[in-house]
Amino acid sequence: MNKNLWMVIIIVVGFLGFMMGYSVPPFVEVGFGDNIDLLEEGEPLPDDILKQYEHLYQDEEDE
Amino acid sequence: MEATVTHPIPVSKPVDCCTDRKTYDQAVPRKNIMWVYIIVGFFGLVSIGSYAMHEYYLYLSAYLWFGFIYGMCLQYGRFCFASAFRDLFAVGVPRMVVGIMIATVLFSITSSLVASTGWSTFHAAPWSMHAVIAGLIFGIGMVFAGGCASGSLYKAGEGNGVSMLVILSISVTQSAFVDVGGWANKLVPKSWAESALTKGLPSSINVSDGWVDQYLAGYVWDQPIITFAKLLGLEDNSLVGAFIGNTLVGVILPAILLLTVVYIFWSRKRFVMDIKANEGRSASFTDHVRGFWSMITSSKRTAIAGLFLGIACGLQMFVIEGLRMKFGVKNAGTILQRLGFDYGISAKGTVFDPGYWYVTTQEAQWVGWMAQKLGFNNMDNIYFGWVNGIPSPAINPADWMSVALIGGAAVMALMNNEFKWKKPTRELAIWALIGGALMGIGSRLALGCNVGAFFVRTANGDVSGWSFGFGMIGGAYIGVKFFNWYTEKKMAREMANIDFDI
Repeated sequence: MNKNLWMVIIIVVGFLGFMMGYSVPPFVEVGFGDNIDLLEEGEPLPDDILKQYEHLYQDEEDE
Repeated sequence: MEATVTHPIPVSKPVDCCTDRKTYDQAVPRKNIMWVYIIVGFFGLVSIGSYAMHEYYLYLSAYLWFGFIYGMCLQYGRFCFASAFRDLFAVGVPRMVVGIMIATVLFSITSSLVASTGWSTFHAAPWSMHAVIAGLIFGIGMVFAGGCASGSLYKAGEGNGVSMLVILSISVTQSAFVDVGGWANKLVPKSWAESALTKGLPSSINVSDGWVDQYLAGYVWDQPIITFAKLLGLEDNSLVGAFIGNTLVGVILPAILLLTVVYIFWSRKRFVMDIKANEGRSASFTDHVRGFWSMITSSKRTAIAGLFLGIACGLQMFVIEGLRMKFGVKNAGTILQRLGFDYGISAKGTVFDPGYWYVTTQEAQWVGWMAQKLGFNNMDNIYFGWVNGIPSPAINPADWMSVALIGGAAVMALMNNEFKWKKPTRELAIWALIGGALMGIGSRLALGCNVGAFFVRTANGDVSGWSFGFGMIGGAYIGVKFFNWYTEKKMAREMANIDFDI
């Protein structure tokens, strides 16, 4: 394959890799297959998550 | 004289109608390479620049880069459903049909992997005869237009003016069709109208006015959603359900069956004649297995494109779902609202955000958005106002995917020296508009095109995918037969007008 095609492939893979860096960690945290740690519909949110929501983007708002 | 790069690179060109492309050395003009980097640089700048504004834009960039990959793959493999069935029915060449089946099988494997993690973005569609009828209309349209919905996009990236007209026609037709009311309401069966009223849609949608609204809420939504895994009593997101139910039973076995039919009716005769001519004997069962395999492997390029398409399609589902988790959203509508864009968001707070490869809805959206800006109310129908919204094309995730798909195809075409601006003739333009209109109507009736209603659904074990596919094949057959009749009639007329001076 010619070098220009390789360059394009490297650029595309670079962007994809960057996006994977964003999208993979949440999966690792929440789990896969039968081990998904999700709340049932209607179940109350745990306190630590509520606190996390309260502080979500607080820094940006403060700015 | 145009400057060219000094080193030769392998470029593929079609050798004849029945064989795969062969590679030969041809210099690519420097201008082409410059445009390749301009296009890639533009998309790179959009991604980096928007990310610098806010990390939420990464969600749109994900669509962009997957669209770019699809464009490269489609152009490389010359992946077009219209060409596939036209070549098969008109000249008996199964190469592209085989490629499509390979891509579907490979995509089904990757999507099963994603589904078995429990994080697939795919949702099966309601199933009934409407999918077959819609496929039939779509199939006729794609043969008339000379390209399917995805094929027209990649061909537009090659500079094909006819394909650009097809895209325009699909876009305008869809946008107009979903909003047709008035006289069309008289064509709505009473049962649909009554059922639609029971769906509890907000008054802003005005479900009693609009044929498509009542078709969707009064008929399609009442149909069962069936996958092959569910038919076998399995869960779609379990390992066994995804791989055995949806992939093996839902895709691999039907694909083998379909390819066997293609071999028997289109490839076998040629293979048997070759054996008789070269070896002077009749073909045995082993020979037929060999012939079947040679049909499968006849186009490496299409198969490679299919392989990468399949992988990219599965990966996109994974990446989009990961980003949704990361940003704590279920739909891009929430992201757009957080970014301060609330124009064109649906009454549910959503915008079109399939999470996988899709073609037609975003095409309808940009025309819908434009019409809304010109003063037409497009937000009182289910399609735009309740489900998909009409956000500005500049911040519409699926539009980023389609634009990048055209860009990816252009990059590949430029590198293969296959890019050329082609102005449509008057006759081809008329066929493009008629075919595009039929594809637009077929897409809206089926809730998707050859990609959204066939390729993605079939690969995910959705029964309605095959229903649309069978309709589409039937439509393509009718389209080819019509074209044969039309061409013969036209040639006879032209021949009659020639004055032979003997």
